[in-house]
Amino acid sequence: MRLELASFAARDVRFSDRTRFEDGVLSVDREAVRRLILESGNFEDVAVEIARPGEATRLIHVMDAAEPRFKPGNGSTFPGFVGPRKTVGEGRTHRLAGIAVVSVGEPAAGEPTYWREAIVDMAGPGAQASPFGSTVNLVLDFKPHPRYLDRDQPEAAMHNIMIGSPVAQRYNHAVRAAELKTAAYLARTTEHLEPDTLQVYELAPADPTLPRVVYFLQMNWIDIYGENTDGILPSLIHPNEILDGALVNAVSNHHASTRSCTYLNQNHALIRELYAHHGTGLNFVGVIAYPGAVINEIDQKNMLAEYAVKLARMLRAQGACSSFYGGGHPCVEFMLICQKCEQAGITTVQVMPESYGTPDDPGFVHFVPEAVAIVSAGRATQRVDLPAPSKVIGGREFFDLPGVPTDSVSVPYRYVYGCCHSSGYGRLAARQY
Amino acid sequence: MSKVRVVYYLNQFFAGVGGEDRADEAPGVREGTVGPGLALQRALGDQGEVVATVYCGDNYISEHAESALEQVLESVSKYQPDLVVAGPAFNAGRYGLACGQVCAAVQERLNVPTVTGMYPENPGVELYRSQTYIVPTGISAASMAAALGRMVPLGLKLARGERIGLPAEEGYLPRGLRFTDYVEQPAAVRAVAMLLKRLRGEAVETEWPLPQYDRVAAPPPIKDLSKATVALVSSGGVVPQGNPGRMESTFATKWLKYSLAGIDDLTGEEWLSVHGGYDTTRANEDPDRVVPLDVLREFEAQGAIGRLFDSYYVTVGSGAATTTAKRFGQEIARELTASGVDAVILTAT
Repeated sequence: MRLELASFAARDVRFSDRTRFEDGVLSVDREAVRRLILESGNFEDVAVEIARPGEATRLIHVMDAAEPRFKPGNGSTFPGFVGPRKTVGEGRTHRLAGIAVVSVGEPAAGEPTYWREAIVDMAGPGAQASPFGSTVNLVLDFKPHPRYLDRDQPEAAMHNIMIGSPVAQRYNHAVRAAELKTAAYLARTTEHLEPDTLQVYELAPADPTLPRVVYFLQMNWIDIYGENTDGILPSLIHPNEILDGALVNAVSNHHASTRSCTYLNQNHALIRELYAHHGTGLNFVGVIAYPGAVINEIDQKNMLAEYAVKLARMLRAQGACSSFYGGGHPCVEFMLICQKCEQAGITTVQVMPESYGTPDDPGFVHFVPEAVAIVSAGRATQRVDLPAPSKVIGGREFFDLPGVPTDSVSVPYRYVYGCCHSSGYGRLAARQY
Repeated sequence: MSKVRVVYYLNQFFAGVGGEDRADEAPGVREGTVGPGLALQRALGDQGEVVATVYCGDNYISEHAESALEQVLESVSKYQPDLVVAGPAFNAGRYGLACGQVCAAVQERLNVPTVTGMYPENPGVELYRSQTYIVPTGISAASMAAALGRMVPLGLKLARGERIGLPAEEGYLPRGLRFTDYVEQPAAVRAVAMLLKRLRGEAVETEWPLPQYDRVAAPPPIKDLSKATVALVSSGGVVPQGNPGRMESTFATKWLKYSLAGIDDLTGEEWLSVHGGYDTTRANEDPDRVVPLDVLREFEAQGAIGRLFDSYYVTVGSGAATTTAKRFGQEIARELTASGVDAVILTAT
């Protein structure tokens, strides 16, 4: 499988009467984007805004972000959401590098918000911490259709507090579809243009003496090809599928710092790093994706870990990178995978956002003695001071933070969108003092 | 910049009061330097001044902890120091504990930075490492000059409010505190580099050392359950509908207590779980699945247990730091013990 990522470096986004890409500038017909989104009938309205690095702008209530992509010819762009359901990861894909489409907005009826607040500051310490403080963002501020706001309908009842009511789940799906449709629409402007760079991703046959390495990707509420992955067995997936938009975030209610994020999967840092060493230091043999947090029984967790490690053994893996989504329950299966890998002779390195703990607290929910090679993706409970912005997009009030979004706030990193993501994108790390 | 004002804490021996026979000496003060204070002043040079020495007998401070500390704090605060230096205590156990205790109290109650020195195996290290800065020393006073030479630069930095770097850079024993900052390489790059090293058989240093948690030993079994008062305690977040106590769904800051008097069954109409960390669908269909009140009432009626305690204790486990959880446990246990409860059924989720 050979994926050619054709990058078009974008240095700015501007509103214009015609959507086009020219000399590194993406011009956007604001009304055309609104029409594109509103035709689904899922929204009362949508405000389209631009947030650039360095501007004193704050985005709140962020739900997801995606990079503009377009697959010409027979390829399917964001299969299951925009294009038809077919596998991706081969052929050519156009990308607008340096741009993110960011969804923000209020919750639907029966949508939990205790973990939903997510902040992106375009200037200051918040901008430094979030991957989206350095992209030019086309921000979609969604206003749900009234039928998503009616709290009295039976489907607005919240049975499972983590994922919310059926109405909230449908609404989040509609928001993702609109975001991805916009991302595809923007990238299509490059259809007949020559890219600045062409990056080829291919697991070409490597020197057989190199160590065979797999990557264990723990998912939480990620759709693959538009399909729900809760409770699926661990699955072998080609890294190119992940880089090519097969994985889409499904739920907004999870810690902003570690939430699964479509953009960060499209630009998966660990996968790209493993590719960078493929054929020289290691032989990258595949990705094993498995769901975290949806099973509660230790017996099931053992089974899941054993099944995941069995796939690695079938690939004759000798080494593994394994990333932790965050949270409590997922830590158990994450650690069990490390243990079973090491017992099977597969040398493992773990990437862990530190979800919990005060500075004097070790912060582990669960650990195994084999977990001796951990890379920290930052401790999300530490506070960061964010200065007052001059403009706020996404809402008027925070969900569960004291103060108002227009003021300076001191927040734990867990509210800063994408800053401790398990793909290893960031440079935040906790260290022992 | 003005000189850093230093108050020096010593035990009776180093303060020149006397040896083991004077270990019961009450706290006292000397203006300026005594004993190793001269060496401390030499190490400070023109950067700081030892304005007073506060001392106490090692036995006295351990036997009169509260009153002795009060006296020490009062003496220290009189001199309005920018820094308190204690010891070094080397491998002397009681002296190490005293230095740790004094530093921790000065730091917490006077908000004055502190530094001390100990041999890494001194029992004071484990107890006080997170509350002060402890510089590693040799086993005996022969290493006094070298120890003070390491304590002083760190102390001056603390007194001036400068940022303190990693233990290896600054020369103190790791305090067991984790702080987040920017490092040079993204986590993905560090992870693959670490894996390649491991695959080559080279040693690597983990960025997140595994902890050593206290293991709670199981108490002896209840001899006669039919006479025991049993309480229900849960971290599963089951509270009355409407959540009147405003229990948080995550990062709980409190535990709550609800009466079970006259209730035989927890129904989904009257109770719900607000826990944000697990799928609560089944718990909300029948909250007895998390808090097994119905079964315990049956046991009570059959005489299998003596009595079910009238109050039920609840918190939410999602995101709790072990330090918070430990405090909740201690507070709840104190109430239960005072109420004569013999046994607890603890349900998690």
